[in-house]
Amino acid sequence: MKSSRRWSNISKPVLALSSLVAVAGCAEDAPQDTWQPAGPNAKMIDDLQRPIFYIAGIVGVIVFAAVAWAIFRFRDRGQAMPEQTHGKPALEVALTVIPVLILIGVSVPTVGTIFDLAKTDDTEMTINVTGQQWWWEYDYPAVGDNAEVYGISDPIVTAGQLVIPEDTKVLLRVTSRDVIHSYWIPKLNGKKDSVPGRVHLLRMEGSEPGIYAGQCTEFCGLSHAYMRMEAVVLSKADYATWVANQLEAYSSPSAGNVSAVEGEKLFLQQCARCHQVNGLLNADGTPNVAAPDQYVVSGAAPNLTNLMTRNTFAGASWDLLTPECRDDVWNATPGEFGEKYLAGVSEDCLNQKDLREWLRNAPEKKPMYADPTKLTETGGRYRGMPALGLTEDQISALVAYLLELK
Amino acid sequence: MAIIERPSSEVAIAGGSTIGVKPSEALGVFKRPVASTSWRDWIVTVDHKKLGIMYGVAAFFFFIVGGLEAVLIRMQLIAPNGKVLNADQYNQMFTMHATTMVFLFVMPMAAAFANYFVPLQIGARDVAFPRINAFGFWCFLFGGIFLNTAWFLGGAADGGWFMYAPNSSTLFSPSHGIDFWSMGLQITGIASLTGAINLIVTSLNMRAPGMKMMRMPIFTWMVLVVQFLLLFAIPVITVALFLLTFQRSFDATFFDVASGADPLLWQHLFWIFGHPEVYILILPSFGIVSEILPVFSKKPLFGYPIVALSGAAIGFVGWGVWAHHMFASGLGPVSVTVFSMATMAIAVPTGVKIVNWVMTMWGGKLQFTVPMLFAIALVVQFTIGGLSGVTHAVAPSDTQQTDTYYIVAHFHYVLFGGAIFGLFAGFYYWWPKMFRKQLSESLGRWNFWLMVVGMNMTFGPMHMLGLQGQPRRMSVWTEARAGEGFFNLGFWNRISSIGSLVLSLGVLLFIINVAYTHKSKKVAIAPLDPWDGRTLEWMTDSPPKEHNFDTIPTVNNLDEFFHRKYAQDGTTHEITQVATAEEVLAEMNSHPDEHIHMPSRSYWPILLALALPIIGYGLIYNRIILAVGVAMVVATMFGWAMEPSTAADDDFDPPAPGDGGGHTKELAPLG
Amino acid sequence: MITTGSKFLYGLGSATAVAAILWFIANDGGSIGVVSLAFLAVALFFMGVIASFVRDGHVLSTDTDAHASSNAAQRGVGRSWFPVGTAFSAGMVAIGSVSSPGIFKVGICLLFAMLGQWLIKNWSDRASSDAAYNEKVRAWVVHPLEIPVGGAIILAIIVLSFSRIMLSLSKESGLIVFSVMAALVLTFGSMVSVRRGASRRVIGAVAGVVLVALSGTGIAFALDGERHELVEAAAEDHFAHRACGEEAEETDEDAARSVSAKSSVAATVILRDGRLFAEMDGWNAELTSITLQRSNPSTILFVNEDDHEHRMVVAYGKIVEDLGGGVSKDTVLEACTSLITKGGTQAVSIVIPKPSFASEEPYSITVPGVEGASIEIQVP
Repeated sequence: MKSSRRWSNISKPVLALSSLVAVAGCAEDAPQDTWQPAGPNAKMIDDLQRPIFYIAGIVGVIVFAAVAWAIFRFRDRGQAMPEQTHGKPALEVALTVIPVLILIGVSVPTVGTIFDLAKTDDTEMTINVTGQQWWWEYDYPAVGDNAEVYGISDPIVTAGQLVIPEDTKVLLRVTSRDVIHSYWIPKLNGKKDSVPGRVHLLRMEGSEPGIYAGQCTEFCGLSHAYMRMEAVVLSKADYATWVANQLEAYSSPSAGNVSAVEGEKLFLQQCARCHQVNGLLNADGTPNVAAPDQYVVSGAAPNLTNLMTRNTFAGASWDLLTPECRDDVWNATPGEFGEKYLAGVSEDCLNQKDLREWLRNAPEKKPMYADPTKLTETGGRYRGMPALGLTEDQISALVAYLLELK
Repeated sequence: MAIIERPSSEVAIAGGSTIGVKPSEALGVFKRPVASTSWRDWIVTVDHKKLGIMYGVAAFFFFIVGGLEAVLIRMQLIAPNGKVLNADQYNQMFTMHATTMVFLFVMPMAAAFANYFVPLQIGARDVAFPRINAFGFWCFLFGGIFLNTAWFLGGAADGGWFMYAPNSSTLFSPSHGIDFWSMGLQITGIASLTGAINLIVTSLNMRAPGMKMMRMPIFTWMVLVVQFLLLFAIPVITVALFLLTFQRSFDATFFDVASGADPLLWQHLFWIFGHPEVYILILPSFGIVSEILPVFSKKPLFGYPIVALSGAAIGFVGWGVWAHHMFASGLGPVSVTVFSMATMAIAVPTGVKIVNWVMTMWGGKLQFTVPMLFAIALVVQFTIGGLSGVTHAVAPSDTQQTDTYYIVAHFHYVLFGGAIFGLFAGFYYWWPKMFRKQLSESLGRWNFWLMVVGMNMTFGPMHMLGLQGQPRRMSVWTEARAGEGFFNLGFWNRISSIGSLVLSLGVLLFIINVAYTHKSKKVAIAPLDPWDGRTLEWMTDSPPKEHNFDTIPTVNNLDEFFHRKYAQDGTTHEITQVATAEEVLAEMNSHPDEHIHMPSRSYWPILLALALPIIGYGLIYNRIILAVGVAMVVATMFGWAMEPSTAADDDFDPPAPGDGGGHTKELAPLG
Repeated sequence: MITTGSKFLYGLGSATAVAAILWFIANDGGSIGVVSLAFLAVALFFMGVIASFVRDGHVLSTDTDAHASSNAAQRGVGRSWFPVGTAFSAGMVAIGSVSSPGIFKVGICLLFAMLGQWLIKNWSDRASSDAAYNEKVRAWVVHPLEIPVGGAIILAIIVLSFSRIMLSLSKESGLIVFSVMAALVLTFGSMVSVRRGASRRVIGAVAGVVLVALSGTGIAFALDGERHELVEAAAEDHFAHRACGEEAEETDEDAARSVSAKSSVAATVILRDGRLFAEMDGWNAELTSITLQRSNPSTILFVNEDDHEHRMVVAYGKIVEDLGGGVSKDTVLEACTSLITKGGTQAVSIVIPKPSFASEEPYSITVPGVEGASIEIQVP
């Protein structure tokens, strides 16, 4: 009885530690695994942290072994009163110097990595990333190399998915419109807070085409859990295609598509106050300019131009693709990925269920401060998308219209 | 029998010849409270032991509250898209869980032990400022209750215990929760600050003759370090909370970006307080463990001066590491490097402590009593927490780990596996001293093992969750990010949630143990010195009298009590017992001190403390209530200032037998 | 039996109950004030009942005969100025109610103070047969209010008088007066603390004379008016938004917000050798076209390295408000720094509400008076 108790006392920490060391083995394709780098920045961190985990593990094992041995060897078996010693200075010094040496050993590569990760002078492309409750906006400025090398002749504004070319040193300029958020794509780099009023720089580089998941990691209020993001890495050729498609001029749905035409009208009435669709014209022929600053606390709502070229919506919380089509894209090989991603969302692949629920009552699906009775508390502006009170027919028309945005 | 001395009366019974109403009685219920055995004595007491017990009871109550909040959090996360709580409730829950555990459980529970045992361990009769001590307790209690009334008044604080600006502004958190939070913490902060000053003065000035600093028991040492940390850390959070209150209640713009402010100001203020706070939480438990390990190893603490000084070193370096909570905040590589290095440096004195504990056990004669089990578990679990801490002292690695469950795992290993296990070790160790009965060892073992299993089952899997990318503070998690295979995030979430139930069961068993010990007739009164203790608190009755010691002992050694019981043979170096605890006590009591001055009870501390939440409600709801509260503060402070520390004779009932000049009376019987 | 102590409690309780009812009427009910006052009243009544029941905790009080014959029970007939004071206060209330709310409020305060003091005095007179002890009891109850209120009034007089003096002195002499006064206070304080033997009377007299002198001077200066800069500034309104013109303005040499400007700037705009360019984190070049996020607070820092004074003007479109009936009102969105000398820096924080394509005129940063100094702002 006693011995088994003693054994579990020893085995517990050892088990916990060994599982800690073996943690990389436990993970099976968790999309946000911090031990599976897919770009040079994350790789740098990984190269640094692996040895540190091993060292920590070894130190832990030594301490636990010592405790276990003391428990086993020195338990009270009726031996005489031990000597009342207050310690041995030489031993004390030795046991202090050892951790100092280990930590010095650890600190050297740490400093190197900190400065390597902060380098910005080799940037090839710059993207502005703006957080707000509870989604991310990306804008691709049409200046410098962005315009000259990557063909971004007009600014591109998107939401939810960051799209970057493969093997390109991208610099994200991260900021926020309301509270503090944090931008984190674990497989590409560590996280960086997006702080209102400040611009923080974060390097991003993907070595292989694919889609990489992330999540806002600074608590940002009610729907923090629903503030996700994805980074898409495309080969350079595919990236050019993507840019060209984003810059393509807007065209209204063809007259034949009755439902979509109806949807465009509805969109102008119900959605265009906050959501910008570049090129969309008002009924009087003037270009529509959304004014989210008047209706939303953060002053921004996702730009929906080319919505169906992304495959998520509502802060990347839900997929625009049905589960099958989603798996097809996510699990595509690097070679096939670009083609599948650029195909966008077809009518067959559209995740009608979540999208319709969203249009029916957004705050019910994603908690938001969008209760009309509480507008006094937020200065007459919503935090998030309110329920619009649409009929099922209107929802169908809107869905048909949204499908045209690609 | 010891004699308690009271001053002679200044106001003689007036009227002389006529039968008059005795002056003090004219005051009716306003009369100054004096010795009493009723429940009323708990309200007006200034006795450090009674206050210690009240601190303990109140803190344990908040522990249960905070624990239930934690269980609700884990139940919400047992499955994807949890429905137990909605997002708003979840945010309130984790905010209040942390706030409760940090400010209303671990800190006051450490204060409970410090209050009860520091005067005993240094051979003092009470703390230096007994009424301020009482005031501190009531501030903590009323502050804690005030903070929690928010649950019933529109929702508790929902910004996380770190309350980052600008998410804490009225625009983003329109309920009154954060107002309650900031003012409640302000009030409990008063408790910490006054307590810190009190205990610093006590342990510097009121040590028994012969007790040099380097003969102070290690628990008292750690408490002293903690009080210095509190003394400097609490003012910082006080300033931060004032800024927050002004921002929310009076439209100030300290953190308003559009007015040119920088929200990182809050983070710096918060963590300059917040990181020393971590040591404030853990060092008392280190002290408790450093008391327990030697007792049950039958050996003095290995490297006592180094343990004491490394505690002080942690206290110092702890001020230079706050920004390691902000590695992802965009500080720039130079700052990050500096704070990364400083954080690694602090691992050294912490590691020294672990080494010393192991070396204390090494070569000893170990008795695995329940307090010893908790102490050993602390050593092991704290080591795990410390090592995971080193992995995120490495800043680049931290940018992957911060704000994920890996951090949650880390600090729960440190604070639950460390601080709270230390407190439980203290419960079992000191229970017979405080309540004359020893907690059941067999129930205690069940309690221990359930807590060890529960704790590791709850927080162990969080390492995996965090490293596989599950962020903290999310009201729901989604299967889309959980990965595939059997051991995916869903599995670890389930294990962790089940573990929290096991852990709750362990804590429940502690409560059952307490109830059983005190209700059951089978549990006998504990012997005077059940553990073969080494320090002064065991050298008096259990529980100690109001004045602690009939004779203030003269201290000649570290571990004075041990040296009075045992002697070493000069030639054989064999250690033999020369006296029992009862003999030591009887010898001391054979020549009691004649002049014992004890402070008198007072209403003012509780009344003054009661005024503070009224001000809080006033700030939130109505300026007139505010005025009432302020008036009450002024009036009670005045009353307090006018009241002598020892009651006048005519406050006693029956009045002191007057024989003209100064006279002595027997100590009134106390409960 | 109704004892002395319980009477006091019943009295307070009734007053609180009345206050609760008045509150209820005045605030249309439902207010937390009613609840708390009602609670207070109940608590006071409860304490009164306890006091009655235990007869003020005094065993002998059951001996009613002894009570009736005790000195304390004999009503002393003495002089009291409370009736006069109360009548005077009541008069003030009456006059105030028809003339000025200020007098009315002061009257109400006085009235309550008088009645309260009267109540306490009467209560304490009955406390025992010993007048000295009765005075002690009275002091015990009312000093906690009297002394702080008195202190606060004196403090208010000092602060008000002193501030009036400082506001009407010129900037230069204000400095001297302040230093001299501070030195005097320090000297006087140290003298008092060093010479422990100093008579309380002397100290009190000196303090009293100083107080009278201070308040007298304060009143005199208040009648004289504030110094002219302050009068002008008040007329201009300190916080009003001013259009960005060429006109000279008084500004601080150390520009506002330089601390936050250092820690969080979206762009640093530099004027050097007649050239205007911007530097931004993340771009390794001198930019003449910058991108700012829409609806996002951005701080732009202006650094003037030119020999002349300059200001930076940020123009970012206009807001057209439809006032109805075909009338609309244009508000030009502009922000500017004040005139800055060489080497100076200053920041402006702006929030741009609309993308640049929604504006006919491009958004820009310019420096008036410098030819061709312009930076384009793109807002996607």
